[in-house]
Amino acid sequence: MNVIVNMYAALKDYFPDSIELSVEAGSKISDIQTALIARNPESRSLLDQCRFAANHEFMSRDAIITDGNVVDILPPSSGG
Amino acid sequence: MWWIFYRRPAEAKLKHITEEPIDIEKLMREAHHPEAGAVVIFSGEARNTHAGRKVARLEYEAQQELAEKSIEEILWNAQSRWPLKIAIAVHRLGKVEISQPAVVVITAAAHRLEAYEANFFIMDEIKSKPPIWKKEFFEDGESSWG
Repeated sequence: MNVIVNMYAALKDYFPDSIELSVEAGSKISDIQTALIARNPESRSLLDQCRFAANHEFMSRDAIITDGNVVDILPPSSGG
Repeated sequence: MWWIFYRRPAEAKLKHITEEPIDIEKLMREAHHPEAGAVVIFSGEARNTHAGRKVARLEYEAQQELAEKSIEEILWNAQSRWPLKIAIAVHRLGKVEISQPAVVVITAAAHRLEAYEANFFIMDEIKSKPPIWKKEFFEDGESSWG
């Protein structure tokens, strides 16, 4: 199945703004992280600090992804 | 023949996130309450230096839906901890020039202590929780994410 993964802020230094990933059914959010690290190992440190959201809800790394999910990967906040 | 028109639902208006310059005077006009003897306003503004480097401008990016929800939650939390009459928070996105406000927090309460404390709490939370990111553009042409 396919998921759209949106990158924000410093993550865009490592990946395009948005990518489509093909993952196996039953995959977890953490599997997306693993797939991205495989694509760009230099992103590991930042990805370890990121939060994840699917369809505009924060998700843990153990959460199961469903087909058509839009996953946002959110680096540590720096607002204000 | 029947025609069915599907109309896209109107986008929910964002109260706490804006791509327009923040109008502090307009926000202040919404911040008065007959039971509030203290109104505290905090304006977080773009500063022209960072770690000894000259900053030309800032740019902010957000995951807008989550940032909006997160700021709404922060205001609810503040209102549950302090007896606030009014709590307002607006964060700017996009390009912010030096001395322009990037974030404004206004709290109104019967007395100044709770208005000050709640304002400090809200601002602290806004710096760390909503998915909002600052990028600094330096005068030497370089830039970096905050």
